[in-house]
Amino acid sequence: MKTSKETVLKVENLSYTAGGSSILKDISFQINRGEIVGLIGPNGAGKTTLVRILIGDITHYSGSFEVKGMIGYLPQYRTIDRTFPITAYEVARMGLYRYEKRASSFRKKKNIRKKVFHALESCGIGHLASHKIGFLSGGEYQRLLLARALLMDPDLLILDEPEAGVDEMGKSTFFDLLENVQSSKKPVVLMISHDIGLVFKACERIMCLNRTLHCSKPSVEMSVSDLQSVFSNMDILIPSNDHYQEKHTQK
Amino acid sequence: MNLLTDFFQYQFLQYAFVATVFVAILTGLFSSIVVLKRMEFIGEGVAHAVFGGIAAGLFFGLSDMITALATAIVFAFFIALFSSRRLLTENNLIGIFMPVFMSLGVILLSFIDEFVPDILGLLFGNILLISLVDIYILVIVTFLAGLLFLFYRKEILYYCYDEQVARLLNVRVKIIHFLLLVGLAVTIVSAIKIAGTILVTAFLVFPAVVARFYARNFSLMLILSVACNLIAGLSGLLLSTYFDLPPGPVMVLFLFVLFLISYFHSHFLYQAS
Repeated sequence: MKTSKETVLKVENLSYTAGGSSILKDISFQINRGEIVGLIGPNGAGKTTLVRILIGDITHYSGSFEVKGMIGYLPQYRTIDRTFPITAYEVARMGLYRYEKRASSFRKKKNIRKKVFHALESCGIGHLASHKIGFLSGGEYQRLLLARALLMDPDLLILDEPEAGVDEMGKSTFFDLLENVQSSKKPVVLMISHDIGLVFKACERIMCLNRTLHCSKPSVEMSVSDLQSVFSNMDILIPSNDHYQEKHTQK
Repeated sequence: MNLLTDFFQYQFLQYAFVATVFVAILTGLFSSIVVLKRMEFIGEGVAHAVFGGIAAGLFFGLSDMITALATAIVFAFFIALFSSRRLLTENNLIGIFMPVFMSLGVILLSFIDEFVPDILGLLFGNILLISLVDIYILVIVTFLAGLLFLFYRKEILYYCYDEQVARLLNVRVKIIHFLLLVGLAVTIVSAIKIAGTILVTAFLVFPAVVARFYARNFSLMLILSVACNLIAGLSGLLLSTYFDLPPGPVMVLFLFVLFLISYFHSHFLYQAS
């Protein structure tokens, strides 16, 4: 029986050095079942490196981490060639690879089509299944990548800059969708983003990373000084909070 | 018709026909990998690298085909090994290992006194001088490549489309990467004796570029690439035999015509949609 406090991701003393310089230094945190956590930090803070370690893309790190269950991953939008000859259906089906490997009986194989269409439809792009990915808009493509990540049957869902390349309308549809998915399936979400406003809106807890972890707090308790520990010398707007106003008038 | 009677009369024409069909299928299959993984340089790379192997074969008195195949596999192994950490691209490594292998070949050749004309023949190829052994090798390699693409179609697709997520999903990316590079190297070696370096490069790049304009998915891209090679290869063979022209270059020009047609047609298609 899973309790709400069960730890899904536990990272301990994680460090990574490349080319003589320290990219990540002594990072420890944990994410419990049911949480949506945002990871913010400036360019070069090591956010993507941390993700690459978690998904097994980088192996020569020190320290350790443990994931209870499967990882679902939504990569950065710009890392994928949109002219690749592949349909939306095939992209989503990729998420079922582990399941397909285990599935042997005819009935299970038949389920695959059903599962893929269900995921596409729940992401609102069922009608685009037979389309080549190059013909999808930025928002539709992002939802397709979410459908694929969800088909991975994740306990931990990692979203790497899901807002990049998507317009405001696309963003709000995407996060409405994510909330619905959250309530029905309950994977833990770790979201990396440059959009601080968005992280505050979507995440319950926020971690600030700049080579090392500077803070990890519920989003309602975050202060300007917390944010300035990673984004120095910058006016920062925290939505539905008057910190920005205070900071600005002090100047 | 003269051509038809010639075809039944001359064995070399029958061999040329069969070889063209198999080279077209084999290179057509691998061309999608070459284009999607951006390794357009590999045809030239392997073809020149095996020069070292052929020289070693002459030096040690071994069969040139066997040493060429062995060299190609070693070459592919080095490329796969050094690109596996993703610090360097396959094209970077082809550019590094090709001159090394060729230089070793030239040094070995300097120890051989007599001039060896076979090497030129192997690098430039002649489809009208094919032996039955060449055809057997082609048939076996095509059969094995067919099996690779049939049984690992999904894994190959995921590896080409999104290697990072493929690895996360426990697709055996390293094995696929290695098998494809070795398959490509063996393909190039078994085809250059027949087609020559230039035609092999053309057969490995043109069809997938053309197919990519039209293919909605990967399987269709494989089929269209093979079809494109068969059309250009057989038309080229027919025309060159009829007008007594060198077959390889005529096939390259046919491929170029297919490329031009698809390029302008797809431009029109994308504008219309």
